Amino acid sequence: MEVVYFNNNKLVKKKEGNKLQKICIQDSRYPKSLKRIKNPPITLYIEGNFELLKSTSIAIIGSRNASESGKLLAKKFATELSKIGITIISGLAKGIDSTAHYNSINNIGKTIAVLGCGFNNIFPKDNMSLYKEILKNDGLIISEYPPNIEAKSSYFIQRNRIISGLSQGVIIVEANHRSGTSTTVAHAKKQNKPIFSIPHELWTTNGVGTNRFIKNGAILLTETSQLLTFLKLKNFKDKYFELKNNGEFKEFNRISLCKYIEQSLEKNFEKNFKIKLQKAFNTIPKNLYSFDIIDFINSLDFSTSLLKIKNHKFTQNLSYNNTNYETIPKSKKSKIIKNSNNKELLDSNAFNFLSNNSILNYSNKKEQKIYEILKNKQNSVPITANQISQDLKIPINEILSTLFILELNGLAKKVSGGYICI
Amino acid sequence: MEEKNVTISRLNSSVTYPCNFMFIASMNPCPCGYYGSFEKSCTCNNFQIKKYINKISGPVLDRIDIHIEVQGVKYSKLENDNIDIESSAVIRKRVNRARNLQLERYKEFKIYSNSELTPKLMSQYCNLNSSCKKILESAFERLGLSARAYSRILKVARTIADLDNSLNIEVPHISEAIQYRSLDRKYWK
Repeated sequence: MEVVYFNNNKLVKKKEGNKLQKICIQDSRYPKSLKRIKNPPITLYIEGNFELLKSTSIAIIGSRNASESGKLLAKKFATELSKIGITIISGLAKGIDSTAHYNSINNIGKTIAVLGCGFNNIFPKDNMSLYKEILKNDGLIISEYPPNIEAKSSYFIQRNRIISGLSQGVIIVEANHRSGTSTTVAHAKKQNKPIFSIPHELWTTNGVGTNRFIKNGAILLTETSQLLTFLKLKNFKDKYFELKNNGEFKEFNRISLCKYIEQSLEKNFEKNFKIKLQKAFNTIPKNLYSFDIIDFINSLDFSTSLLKIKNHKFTQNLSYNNTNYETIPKSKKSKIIKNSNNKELLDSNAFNFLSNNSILNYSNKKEQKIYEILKNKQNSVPITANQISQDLKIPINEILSTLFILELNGLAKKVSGGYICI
Repeated sequence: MEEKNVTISRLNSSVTYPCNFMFIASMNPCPCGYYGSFEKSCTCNNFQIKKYINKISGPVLDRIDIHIEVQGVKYSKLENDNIDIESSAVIRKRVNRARNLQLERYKEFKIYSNSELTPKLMSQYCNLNSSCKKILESAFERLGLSARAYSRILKVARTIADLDNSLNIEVPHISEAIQYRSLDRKYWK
């Protein structure tokens, strides 16, 4: 059954998944990789896209009390693997698991969630919405337990064997000393699955487990390509490099997007600039998404310094498809008149004019200073507003209002403990 | 808190007293007190934290105008007298000046401060220019604030503007006022 809905203002056709079904080990749909493990589940309850049982998949797991930097790491790997078409398996737990699921969905990727409980008692309750999102986005939910079984800690240890069993390899993003992920690692070892672990600094509590796994033989992972080489997934690896060279893995925030636009304009707008710009917009956090250049400029006006430029005569008369000639200064007019047959050139030239007027230069000093402090904090450790005020010797009220503006522009985020830079 | 009176009912009668007070309170984020702290890690599970925080219900939190989060005080701060901070005398002058501004402004309306502004007066004295309106609009969408929060944010912004000696509410004032409603979105989610 095909379902059509809006995703980021585009019409997307998605297949609606199958309803809850029960399959036993002898069923043709039962995944082969799971048959080979030591203690395979005799029956599986599955809901969603059953094709995923046959797809190439990698498990991404980690601690439930994830740090912000851990979430960013999970995001990186989930994003890159999803974009090249690898399914992400995880356990629908809070923290790293949820991050992996969300980022797979956001990149039009497929994800499988393995539950440690029955379908009617989804644990944790806060992830009910994630469960629905996974199904809506062509994902798959698996459980070994009948629908009315409630979650128990021993069931989570047991379900971890399914996570490692179904996947071709396991990535551990963060794990503390006595983390539940060590049970998954133990299962993966017995099943002869490669274990990839991300190294952390010695004093991070969430790094103790991952570093220990590496000491005991797990592969130290820093790049997705490394994983693809080890698993000998040549097709996926080729696709990975193709996307990387096209800049698909580049993530933008407001500042880097501005710089990217300026650089592209300096190169005299390379081919497919509009498409590339559209893709760049797609990487900005969703709630600040704007897919029109004028909308983008309008959304920049929250910054006090850019208010002046917004009120500039030229910007006020600017619309995407027809530039008002009277307001363009003489020097620029000649360029435009020469190429007046090419509509795209017209708009880009107008844009060029704007960039020369430093509309895209992040020129408010206060905001820049605060952003620099946030960026320089290692490991995304949050910093409080009080601390920023002491460091910069600026009164706290100015710090607070500037931080809010940075938040609106998608450059900072308030988390428990203070602010971090995005 | 809204109507400024309290009604006490007993078996034989029920009495209403006037009750116009200023409410200041502090609380820990969780039973052990270390949720969100860098010094120690929190030892409470999610259920305990939620139960503790929900002692202050949503509606009560909505009626509190300013929320400030602070980290624990380090010993060095307790001991050191040598930091440049504003003295109470300087702050008192500033506060008094803002108070006088408000008293003057509202003389004919018989109210004494920004907190007593009625919606009609707010439309007269708390006008926002278009950039402020946009900021408030996005804050509303992102933070999911209620209508009650809207008027309170405006009043706080008006007071911040008074402290800053500004005739109109500007962008820094409104953004600071919104930051003071941070806890709605952070802990109560």
